[in-house]
Amino acid sequence: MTNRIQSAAPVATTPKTHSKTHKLLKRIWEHRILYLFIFPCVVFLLLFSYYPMYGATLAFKDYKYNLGILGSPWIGFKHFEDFISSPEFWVVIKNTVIISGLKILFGFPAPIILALLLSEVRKSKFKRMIQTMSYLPNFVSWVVVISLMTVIFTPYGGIINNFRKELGLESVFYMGTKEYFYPMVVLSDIWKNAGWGSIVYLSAISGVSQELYEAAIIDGAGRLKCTWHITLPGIKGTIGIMFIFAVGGILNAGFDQILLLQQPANNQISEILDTFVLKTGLNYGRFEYATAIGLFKSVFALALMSITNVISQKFLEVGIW
Amino acid sequence: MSAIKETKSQKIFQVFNYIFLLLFGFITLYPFWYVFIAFFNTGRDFARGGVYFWPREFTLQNYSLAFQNDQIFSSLMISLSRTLIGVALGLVLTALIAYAISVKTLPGRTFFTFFLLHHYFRRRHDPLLYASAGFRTYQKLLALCDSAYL
Repeated sequence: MTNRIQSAAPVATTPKTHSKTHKLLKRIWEHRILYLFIFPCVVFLLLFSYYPMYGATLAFKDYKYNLGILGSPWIGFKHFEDFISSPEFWVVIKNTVIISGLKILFGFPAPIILALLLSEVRKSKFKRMIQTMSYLPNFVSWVVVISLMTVIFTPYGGIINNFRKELGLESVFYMGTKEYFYPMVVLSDIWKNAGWGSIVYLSAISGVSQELYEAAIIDGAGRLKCTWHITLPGIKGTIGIMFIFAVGGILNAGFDQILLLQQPANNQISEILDTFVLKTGLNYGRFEYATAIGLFKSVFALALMSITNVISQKFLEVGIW
Repeated sequence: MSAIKETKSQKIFQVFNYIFLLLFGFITLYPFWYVFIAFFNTGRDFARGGVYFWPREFTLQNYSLAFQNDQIFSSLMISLSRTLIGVALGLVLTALIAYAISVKTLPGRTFFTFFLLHHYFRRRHDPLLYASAGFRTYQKLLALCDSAYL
């Protein structure tokens, strides 16, 4: 009897753990078709997204062309130190933050206002027409947008300057004058993105309960009060999340747009981090230095995003993680 | 809501709202139209100004000149194939993995979700943007024509 009990105890535990892994294996085997579904995407990502990431080690290396990325000797944080102590550092950071800041200041509220105005329109046909029109610029690339702008704003037969001439004013070289650089950046950004950006807010507005409006109207609230006290608090969460993304991307001042708008005249205020990386990396062939700047930017952006997320969680009660 | 009678100020707001939105729609649409008519107008006449809504001296020469350049077609083909292959591949791969991950009993589900997260930070690299790569050649060409004209 006692012998049996003593031997039973260890035997009882081993089948238990055995059955646990066995169960897991069984479950994996049951889902084998699903792993087959996952397989191609994982291979694709490994090959084209994760594998190329080893190139980021270039930021910590003394790159020699003949030794390659992996063979070059390690150098530590030297490139980062070089960048931070370089004269370009503050200029580039300042330009990037100013352009992003202007875009957030003017470009961020634009789709919200557009969505609010559109939601006030009763005639759904008119609303849909305006919406479709406003989406159009989103589907063309920045290259096309800047081409359009060049044609429209050129002093040589562009529509704006022709109009100015008819009014008896002097023609202005909008695309090549330093003073007009910021307005051009902000206005083209709004023109291109406001319509598409309003979609997310419109869907958020349509999610606000109609009963709240009815109750407010019975209480004597006007349209403006309804918007201020019901619609805006109702879409607070959406605004918060979009704001986190906007602040997280503050070091992305819009690479394509700025690169294409760059002119010798505005180079002093238009050199942002991304264009600086491109120039040091490709024009001057300093790949390791450019990689270090790019990595610096990514880390900084991630930190910014985390900070905004914490703040947003505290005040708006929404967050992305 | 429409049952409630509108006050005068609300009516005024509605009128201004419609005007503003019409203006906004016009501003988004007009640049495309302006360039479109510029393509069908002779360059010399267009530079004189005053062509706003309809081509004045109609011509197809601009197009024939543009299409004589073989680079346009090759860059168009590159854009097109990148978009087609990118969309098709992306759709199939993501649909497959999304279906698999949606099964809640799948072991390792969280791991694969995090594995995919990388995608969110590269959203800018969508096929529509790939299509823009071809336009860079077009932009260069435009600049070339511009400088030749001046």
